[in-house]
Amino acid sequence: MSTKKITLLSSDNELFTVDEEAANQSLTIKHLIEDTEPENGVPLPQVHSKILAKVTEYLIKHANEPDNDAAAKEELKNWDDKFLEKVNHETLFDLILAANYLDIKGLLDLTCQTVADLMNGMSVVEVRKLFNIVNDFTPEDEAEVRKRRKRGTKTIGPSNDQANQSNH
Amino acid sequence: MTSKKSNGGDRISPLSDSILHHILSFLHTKSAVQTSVLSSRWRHLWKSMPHLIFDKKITPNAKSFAGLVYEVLLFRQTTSHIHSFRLLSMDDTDDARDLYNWIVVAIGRNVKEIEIDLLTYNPIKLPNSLFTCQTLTSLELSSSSSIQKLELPDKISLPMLETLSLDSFSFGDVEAVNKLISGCPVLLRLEILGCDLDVEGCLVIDAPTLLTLAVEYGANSGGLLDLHKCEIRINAPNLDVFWCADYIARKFTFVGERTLLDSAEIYLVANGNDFFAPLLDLSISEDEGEKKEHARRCTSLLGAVCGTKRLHLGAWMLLNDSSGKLLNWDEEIFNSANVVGESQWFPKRCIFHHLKVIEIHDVIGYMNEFNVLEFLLENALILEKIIIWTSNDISCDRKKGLINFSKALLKIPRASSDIVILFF
Repeated sequence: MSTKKITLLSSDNELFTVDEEAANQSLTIKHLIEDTEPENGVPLPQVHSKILAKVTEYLIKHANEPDNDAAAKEELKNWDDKFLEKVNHETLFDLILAANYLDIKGLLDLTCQTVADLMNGMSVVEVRKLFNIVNDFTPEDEAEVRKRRKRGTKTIGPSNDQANQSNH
Repeated sequence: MTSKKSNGGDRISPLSDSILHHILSFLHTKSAVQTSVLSSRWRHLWKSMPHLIFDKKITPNAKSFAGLVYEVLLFRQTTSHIHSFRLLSMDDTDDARDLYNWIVVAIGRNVKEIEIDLLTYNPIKLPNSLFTCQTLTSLELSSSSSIQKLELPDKISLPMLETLSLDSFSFGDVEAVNKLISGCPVLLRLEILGCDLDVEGCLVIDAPTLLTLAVEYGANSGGLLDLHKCEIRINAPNLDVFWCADYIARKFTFVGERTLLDSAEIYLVANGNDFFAPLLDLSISEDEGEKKEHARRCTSLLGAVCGTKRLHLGAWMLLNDSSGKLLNWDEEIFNSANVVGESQWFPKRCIFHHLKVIEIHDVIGYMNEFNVLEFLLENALILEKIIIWTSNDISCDRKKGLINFSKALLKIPRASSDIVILFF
């Protein structure tokens, strides 16, 4: 039995063909197919071919999620880790936007988790540097915000405030 | 993670609030709150985060911990709902009244998921309103350090609850648990783990929508379970996954029509202390009548799940068959007599129409184990795979015996044409 193929059209008019089962992981694509039955491919004007190539790679790999097979789940997890290993920040954030727009829960979780992991354990200054976040606080505002956060430690990630504890 | 740093501008701050909240949901709330110092874009984001997770291990000081939770709840934007609220590793230094207050606040914010993990020996009091929360879809309560008494209110109404997990609790009366379960009309997943069910009465799991059920005996209760203590009666016509680790003496009764399961995993032991080394002590029960009753209950439980696609069994439960005999498997017996008879393990008309995979754990090489495998090979029509995990705690002699055991197994005629047998 042959499965139905779905063609996706990127913003720069490149075509990508995937099985319907793979495509349906994107709720946006699923709804577009149901509502409009497009003949010349599903138009995705918000997603560039460079990103759509990555997205379809993910969709194909995740088309048949294993339910009960621990080894297959482990293999898929390793694949996920590798999938984002050599991706630069530019692509990572484009993937987040694409996963959000296309409504692909697994890919959105994976990419957001990756960003959270990058922030984990870093100081505020390090996170600003990592993501080019401009500190636009006035000195007064920053003093106020920092005062509010006095209880916290200086890092984003979890750290034991044992020292803090011994003061009490 | 070896992401290359971007040379472009700030790509993260222009993301929508909902995406940034999603990113922050993978951090502990303490860390997420810390991002307010990054820039003005981030300053107020934490006040509307839908996912809150507080772990006492990360903020061990009780005053700091309580201060953080109160701050996050107090400064929250008034219109934003709480999706998930998790309080982990709550210990004896925490004030039980704080816990009570925080749950009440979360309920007021239409919370959907609550998880509370207790590391305390002090009794806790949960608000009654938790058990009538109209928005709750998932409730997970666990007590990691000791079996805690869980007081359940009389009135229970959880119309949206899909997941209920209770780990390491005792209940004064099993009727209270029955009332809790019947107060959840759309339950999909039920876990009763490590709970003290060594009580009088009958646990009734009457759940028409239930897909997954896990039952595990309480490790603290120890000793042999009285044959007449707490029966578990299951009426779940849509059940897909059944997992159980319990006493061999427990009476399970399946009510109703459901015969097709996706997977069943059953590990039965004589008593809680033996769970991790069940094969070292084979003195199950001295009483012949009791032995037979144990075997009868095992058989009836296996009969109830024979419509499963995947079956996982602990070998220990197979050792005590209804004849009360425990035969060592060895080649001599196998070759000399006609002991490769009908297995007494499965009810007479137990047909494994759907069974594709069977895994048996902790196999030592007894005749009873062999009989069960033989029965399955001869009767399971579409069986694809048998995975046998041999026990680690066996002598060299037994290891040799196991080689013969596996050789003999390969000679058995098979009902299914294509079977892989794996030994580990």
